[in-house]
Amino acid sequence: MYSVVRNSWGMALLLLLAMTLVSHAASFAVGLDRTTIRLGESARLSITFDGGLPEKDPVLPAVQYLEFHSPTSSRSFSFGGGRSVSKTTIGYTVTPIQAGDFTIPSINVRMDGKPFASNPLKLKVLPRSAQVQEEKPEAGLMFVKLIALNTNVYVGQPFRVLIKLYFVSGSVQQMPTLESDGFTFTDLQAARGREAVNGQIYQVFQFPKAVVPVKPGKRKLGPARCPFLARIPTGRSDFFGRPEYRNRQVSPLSNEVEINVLPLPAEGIPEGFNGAVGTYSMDVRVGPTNLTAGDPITLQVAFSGKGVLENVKLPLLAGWNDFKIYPPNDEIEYSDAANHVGVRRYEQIVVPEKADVPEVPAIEFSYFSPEMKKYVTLKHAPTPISVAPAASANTAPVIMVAQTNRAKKGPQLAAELLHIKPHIGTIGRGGGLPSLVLPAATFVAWLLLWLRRRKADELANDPRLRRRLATDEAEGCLLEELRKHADAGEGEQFFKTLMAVLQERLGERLDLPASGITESVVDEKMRPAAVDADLCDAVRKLFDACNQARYAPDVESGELKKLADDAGYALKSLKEVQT
Amino acid sequence: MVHAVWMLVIAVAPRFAGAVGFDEANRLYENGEFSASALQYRELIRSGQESAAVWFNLGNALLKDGEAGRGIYSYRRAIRLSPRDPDARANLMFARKEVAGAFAPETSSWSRFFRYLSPTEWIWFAAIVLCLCFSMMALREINRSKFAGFLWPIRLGWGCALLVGVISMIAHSQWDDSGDGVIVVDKVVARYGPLDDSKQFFQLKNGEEVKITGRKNQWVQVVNTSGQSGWVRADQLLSIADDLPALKS
Repeated sequence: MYSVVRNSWGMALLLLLAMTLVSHAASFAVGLDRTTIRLGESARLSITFDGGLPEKDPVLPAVQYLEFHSPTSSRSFSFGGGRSVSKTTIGYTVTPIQAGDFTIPSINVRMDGKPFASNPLKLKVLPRSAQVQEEKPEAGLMFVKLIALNTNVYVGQPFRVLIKLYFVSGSVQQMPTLESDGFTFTDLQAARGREAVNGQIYQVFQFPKAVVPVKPGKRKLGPARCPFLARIPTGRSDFFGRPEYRNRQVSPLSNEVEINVLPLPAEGIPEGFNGAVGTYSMDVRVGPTNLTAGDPITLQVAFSGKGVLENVKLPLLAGWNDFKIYPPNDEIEYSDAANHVGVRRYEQIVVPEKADVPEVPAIEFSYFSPEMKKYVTLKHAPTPISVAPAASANTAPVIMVAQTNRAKKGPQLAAELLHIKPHIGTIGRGGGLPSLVLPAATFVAWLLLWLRRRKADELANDPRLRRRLATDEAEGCLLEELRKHADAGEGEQFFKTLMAVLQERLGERLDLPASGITESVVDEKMRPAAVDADLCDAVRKLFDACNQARYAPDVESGELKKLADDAGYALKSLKEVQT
Repeated sequence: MVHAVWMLVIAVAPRFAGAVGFDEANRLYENGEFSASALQYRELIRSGQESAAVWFNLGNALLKDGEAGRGIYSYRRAIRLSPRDPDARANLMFARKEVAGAFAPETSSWSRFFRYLSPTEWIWFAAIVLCLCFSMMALREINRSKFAGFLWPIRLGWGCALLVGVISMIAHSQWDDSGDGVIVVDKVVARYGPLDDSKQFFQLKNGEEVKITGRKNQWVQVVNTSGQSGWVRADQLLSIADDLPALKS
């Protein structure tokens, strides 16, 4: 018994799909979600149109004891390369009526005027009581391939492998791993695409890796493991009739690939070969070539080509006995993603240690060429140089050359190391204390002059001060004169002088004209000013003596001396009186 | 009298000894004994016989002895003492470009202006301006009427002194090389952190000049001319402000 369900709902759906724009190369696939079921269970038949639609409704083949029913349809769009791609899937539930092995014949459709035919599908239906081996639900929905682009390589010869992950739906969780002994790996940029395999459209992730064999022999490469989150159809449909999916974390393994790693030939190994495998060229530059012993020469050696540039070493300069050799600097500039094509530049400083070294010796570099299957040696011819002796007699021209360059082009263009200085120059860092002495000395000079000027200004602006200073000066002279007159017994002169010195001091103290000072100031000015009474009496006594001398000028010398002493004491006391 | 002569001898003797040591170091250099001459120059500096010429010659000896980093350090010290010495500048540039293969750190126009004079020269400049100001003021105190016209020059002088003082202070900060360093070991690996276990970040060449931005234990954080910041071991670089580095024997 068989039946083919074609209801109006399915037809309407297909007509709707027929209006969809076709913008991609069309393909067609038919598949079953399970290949072995028990009687009473169902399998799911999926017919997928990718990038197009059939011109007519596909006709399902008639299979005895199988029923096709519950058609569903889903459609999706994706954009790639600036174009839209449509994908339409029609699903049918396949239910067996009887146990047995069934073959669903190929389904024929026409799309874009071309005929398409699916592969026949096999379905095994077991009795109800039979045990069904658990099928991996993701089987057929994904797989991994490992492809080696070269399976016969030499040790150190890089080659590429591709890990291709085919899947219907899901997402890549992380980069695939490829664990094999005797190889080193470099991950390269992954790419994404689509491929049809056995009528099934798969999305494909390509993970290229650069591989370098490090051990000879026949070696297994792989399998590669791809952690992947698969989206697996459950066989059920949702409310709208769309198929339901579930996510499942899987790690499918790839096939293994045998690589025949050949050892490098033991014969014909050139002297100086240091393990470089590939295809290289060598460029050498030497400069300067006209120099003085002890001056540096820069060797710039660049190795360009294809291979593992890390293994390209500058040849040992073992025979360079006339040169002092410094450790080289190097850098690698890659020009491909695998880091196997590029240029490695070495910069080597060598110094001729004596004059008359005729040349920079030849530089040889050897490598093994897998393409030519033999060792190749590159050679750079010796470079003639002119080395002048470094004695002092010849030092001057070097300096002159460099200084001439500076004079012409500025110091930044001096091409040589300028020679050492013959004179030690100024010792010490200078500054410090000596630099402070000069301004400090001028500061002190200015300060002293300023103080002097300030004193003069004060004097000029204070008449009493000026008079006091003048009185102090005059008083000293007059007292001296007074004692001379006393010694000489010159009474008249003595009293005149005594009167004058008293008037000067009292006038200064009382701020009165000296000529107006008489004995009356003692009672009128001094006593009211609370001047010491003894001092007032002493001054009064001196004035009285002067007045009496007008009438009796002849006084004995001893008495005059006593008066001079009293005058000196009184004047000293007056000087201290505050007015 | 004897005391005065003795003091004169004490003052002059080290200079004479310094000149003798300098000539001996130069002789070793001319004979190609660069390592020995570098040690001799270093002894001179250690004993206080420091001059721009000694640092310059030490730079040459170190450079020819294969120590690009220490050579660059020496040239920078020579330039610090004699900033307008074209020889020191030329050899420093030669060392940077031809030997170390590294580029000099960029300097601004302002920095070049302040570094036109050495720190000592800036101090002397300020001292001379101050001296001129005090001298004019002293003359004015001696005779106010005769030097009455000095008032405005004195005011101008004080303005200049103030300006030069400020410039000198800025110049001293500009000459502060404690943040500058130079790599003195071949192929120094800068790491992300101050630990041997930290991941490698970038590589520095012998003679490459860096900015020092931090320190932790025996590690120094540096920034290279590309702006990359990493940690290197303290014994792999010299700070330009370090007084006298040990030489690689």
